[in-house]
Amino acid sequence: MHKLIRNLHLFLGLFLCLFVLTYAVSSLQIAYPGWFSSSPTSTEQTFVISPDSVSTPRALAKELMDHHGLRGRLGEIKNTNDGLEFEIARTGTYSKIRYNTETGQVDIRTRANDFPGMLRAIHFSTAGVQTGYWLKNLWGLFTVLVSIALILLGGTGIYLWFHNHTERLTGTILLAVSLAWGGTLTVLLLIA
Amino acid sequence: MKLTANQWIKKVHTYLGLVNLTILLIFGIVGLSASFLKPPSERERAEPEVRNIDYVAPGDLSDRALVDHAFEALDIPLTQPAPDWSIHRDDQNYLGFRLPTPAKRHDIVVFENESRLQVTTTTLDIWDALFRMHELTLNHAAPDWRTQLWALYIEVSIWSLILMVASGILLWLTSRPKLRWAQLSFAAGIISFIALWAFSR
Repeated sequence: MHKLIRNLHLFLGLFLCLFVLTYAVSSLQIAYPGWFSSSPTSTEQTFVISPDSVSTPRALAKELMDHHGLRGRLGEIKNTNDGLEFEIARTGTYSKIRYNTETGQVDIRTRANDFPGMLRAIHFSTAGVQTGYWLKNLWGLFTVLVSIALILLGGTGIYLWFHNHTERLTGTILLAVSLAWGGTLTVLLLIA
Repeated sequence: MKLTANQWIKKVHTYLGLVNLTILLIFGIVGLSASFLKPPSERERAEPEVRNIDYVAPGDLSDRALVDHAFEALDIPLTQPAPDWSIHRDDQNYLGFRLPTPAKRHDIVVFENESRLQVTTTTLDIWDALFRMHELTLNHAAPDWRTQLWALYIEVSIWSLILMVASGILLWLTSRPKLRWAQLSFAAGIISFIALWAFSR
């Protein structure tokens, strides 16, 4: 049993270490934005797609994805004075599309995050495993795995510590600090 | 007794894990709830509680100054001055603002001519509250001692996560580096991450 728990702790930790590190470093970015400079690159494209060839907004989005290199999840479609606008986004890259239904002009503004921005995007936008876009679903799957892993690593870690008899006293004090600090404050913040 | 490098690393790894146990469990729960629950705006909310409080607004104040004055008069626990984005005038020109706390949302309207404040308090569900708590860092926390201590715990946990990852990898490399399943797990995780990143670019 001890060997099984020890291996589970090790394998799980090693498998997800880069994902956990991403969450930790992006948390620092969110807490201290001044420490990390991030400059996304923006590109703009304009071309015409005849209104006759796209009967619905979804058909237009499909056309853009199939023939104009856009990839991602189709966002909410909004009507504008001269047509419609929507977003096609994947983790770290966001394209805003405006379509003029009279002239068929398509304006696309794409913002792609750099390395620090990408870390933050992973932290913010990967929850959900049924978003309608396979890549976002996969990121979401790893968010679920990391979440489960944090709970399992905590549980297996407690088991492994408890079986290490030389660390019982110090460990008990530290665990008590964790429960008192975290647990008490959780309750205080929830009821205030 | 002199400890080896491996024993030191193990000690650090274990201690960090124990101190951060509560917060790591909360991070896990927040990740799961954010993944599987509907967004907070689509979930059922408790009926807001509305109360009126006598308040005499000083004249000749800007909207920001009036909001700050009302905020101090209200003295609601765990709040900090209203964020700029929440300050607005409604269609009848009444000044409104929001004071969020981890578990509640206080929407305030200043009725200057009636000398009162209307406070609408919405209690968030536990999942939303935990989500907000997991975002609280020292830079963003209200000055209240409870939020400050909590934010400190979050900050400790962020640094600890980085150290736990580093010490965990070192522990593996200094104890059982040739363990085939460990090598495969590590490689599979790295490859998965790089592949997802590359496909996302």
